[in-house]
Amino acid sequence: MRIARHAALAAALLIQGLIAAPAQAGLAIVLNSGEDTYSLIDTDTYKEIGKKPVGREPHHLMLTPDKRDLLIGNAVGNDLVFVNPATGDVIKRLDQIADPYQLGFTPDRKWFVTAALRLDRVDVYDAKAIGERKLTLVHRIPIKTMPSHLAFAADSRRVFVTLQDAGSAAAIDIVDGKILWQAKVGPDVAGLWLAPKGDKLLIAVMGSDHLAVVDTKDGKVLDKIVTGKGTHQLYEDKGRGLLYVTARVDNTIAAVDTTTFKVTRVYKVGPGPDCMEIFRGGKELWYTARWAKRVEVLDLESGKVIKKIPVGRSPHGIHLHPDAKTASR
Amino acid sequence: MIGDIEAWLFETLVQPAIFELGLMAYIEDAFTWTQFALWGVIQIAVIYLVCRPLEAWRPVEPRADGAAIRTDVIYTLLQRLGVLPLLFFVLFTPLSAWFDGLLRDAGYVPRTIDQWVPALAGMPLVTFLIYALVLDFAEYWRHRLQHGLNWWWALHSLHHDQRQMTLWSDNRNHVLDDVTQAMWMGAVAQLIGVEPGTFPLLVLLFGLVESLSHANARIAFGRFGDRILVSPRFHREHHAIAFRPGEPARACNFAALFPLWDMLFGTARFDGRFAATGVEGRTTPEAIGRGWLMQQWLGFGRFLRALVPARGADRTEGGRQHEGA
Ligand SMILES: [Zn+2]
Ligand SMILES: [Zn+2]
Repeated sequence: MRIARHAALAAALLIQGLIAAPAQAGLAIVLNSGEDTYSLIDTDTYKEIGKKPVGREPHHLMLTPDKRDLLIGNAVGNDLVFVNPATGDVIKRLDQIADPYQLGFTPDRKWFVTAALRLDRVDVYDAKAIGERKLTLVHRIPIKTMPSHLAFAADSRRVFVTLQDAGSAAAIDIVDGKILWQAKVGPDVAGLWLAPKGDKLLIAVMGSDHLAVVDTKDGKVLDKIVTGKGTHQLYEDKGRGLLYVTARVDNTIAAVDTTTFKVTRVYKVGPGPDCMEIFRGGKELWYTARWAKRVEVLDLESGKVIKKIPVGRSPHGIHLHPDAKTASR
Repeated sequence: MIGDIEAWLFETLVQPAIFELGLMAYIEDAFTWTQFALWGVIQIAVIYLVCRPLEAWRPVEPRADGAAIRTDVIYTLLQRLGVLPLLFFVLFTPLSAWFDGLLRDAGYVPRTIDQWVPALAGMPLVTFLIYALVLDFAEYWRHRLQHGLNWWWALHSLHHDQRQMTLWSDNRNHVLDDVTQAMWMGAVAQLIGVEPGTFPLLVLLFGLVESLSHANARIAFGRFGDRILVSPRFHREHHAIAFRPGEPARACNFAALFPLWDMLFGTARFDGRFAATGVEGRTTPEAIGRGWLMQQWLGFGRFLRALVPARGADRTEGGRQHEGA
């Protein structure tokens, strides 16, 4: 049984290797928001192999729905940069995208939404032509204050947004460009996650120490999950049915069960943990340690920080691009 | 190394305070400010260690007026530890967002110098030097206007008021002048695409050279050196022009870093004699103002009177510098 699985895996890798030859190391791309660059890290050697200028204040990045391009949002530069996720090379720069602090596509891939933290608005773009690397502005929705993180409903109709300075959350109708509700959640809210059933949101309350469990119907706070002081960002590990939740002040990452909403483990990590991504089949968690100018790698089994990789100033968004070689580990 | 100290300082002092104050929405700005303050401490330490022994070794004049020096120390701390810059940052963030939006709407994407000149990629030192040259050029012209326009001289003469000039005198400026300088330098840096990581280093360079050039030290860099970098003798001659009792003076030596600009535009003088500094007609402590607050207040009054000149008022009121060829 085990042997059969290994053989199948080996065969799959061989085929993949033949197609994608020559095999190349995996690549991590990290946005140094405090110095307008991104760092390229070889995921095999855990070393920074390059640094490129990108534009003013890059904060978040994500793959296009077809996974072909990586999109980097320059918040102060007001533009989007299309990057090849395998090489880190710039493909195109799309101007006149106002303050794309946070980005996201609806699950049906029809809409692209940005949260403009500095300019207090949420913009909706038609993403039909994203294959040609084009976007068309459809709605500009003023909302106060500091919209910072986004989560999309499965119906692709609603987007939930946290309003950092207002300490509230809101639901927006993407198609109509209207605010459905806005409600107080707690001081300085940040990251959020939508439960698969679509009935509840978990919202990080950075000015306090917990995730607020919020009703998606009206924004009412139903419960609290204490995770750590300065609770900031969430990342879902679907394989384990866990959420990893960073706490900026306590410097911890808490694992929260996505069905029971119980904290199952707390990891002690480096200063100012922010964006995260899992790697090597869920063995490692990579995250940016913003106050320490580095990326850290956490071994999720042992709970040890196994690598500290120096990058640029105030590293924020991170994307990991595996390939045949790294996936085989 | 500095990065580690910064992270430690931020984690153990700043962030917990911000958290308790309920200001976590501004935590990233606090991080930027921590860097500024830390650089400021290092800068002041370096300046003191370099300039103070020079002042003790070859003083131009005796340290007679301790109170005047202490006031300049306050100016330096307020500016370099980030108290004033933080204030400007809070006041001008909306303005800079607007300026940035304006550039974007006009289709201007600031490019870094090595994007203009690809050959410069991988030569960070040369790039840094070019940035310093361009910013110094901008500062040269700002400084000439400070002397050329009546209302601006009303403010800038506060800087020239110091008769006991020392390494602490560089930051002795009216806050309105600090504001214009911050906006001017920031805008130029943005136009030529200075990376934010590089900007503090440039500010550091300007601070080091300018503190040295105000030092109470009989020091010049020699025939060639004086033409490459602004020396204490070169800048003291600039401070002498506003204070030449009974002797005509020629406006000169405006550059902060590179005398090159004064040489190009015909305002360089390399024959400085370490003359007395100050502003003509404003020599008593009452006229100059005792302490930071009083000096700011008097400077603001001069500024208003220059903007709205009273009929028949003496144009040279409060000390007018000689404007020569
Ligand atoms: Zn002057
Ligand atoms: Zn001076």
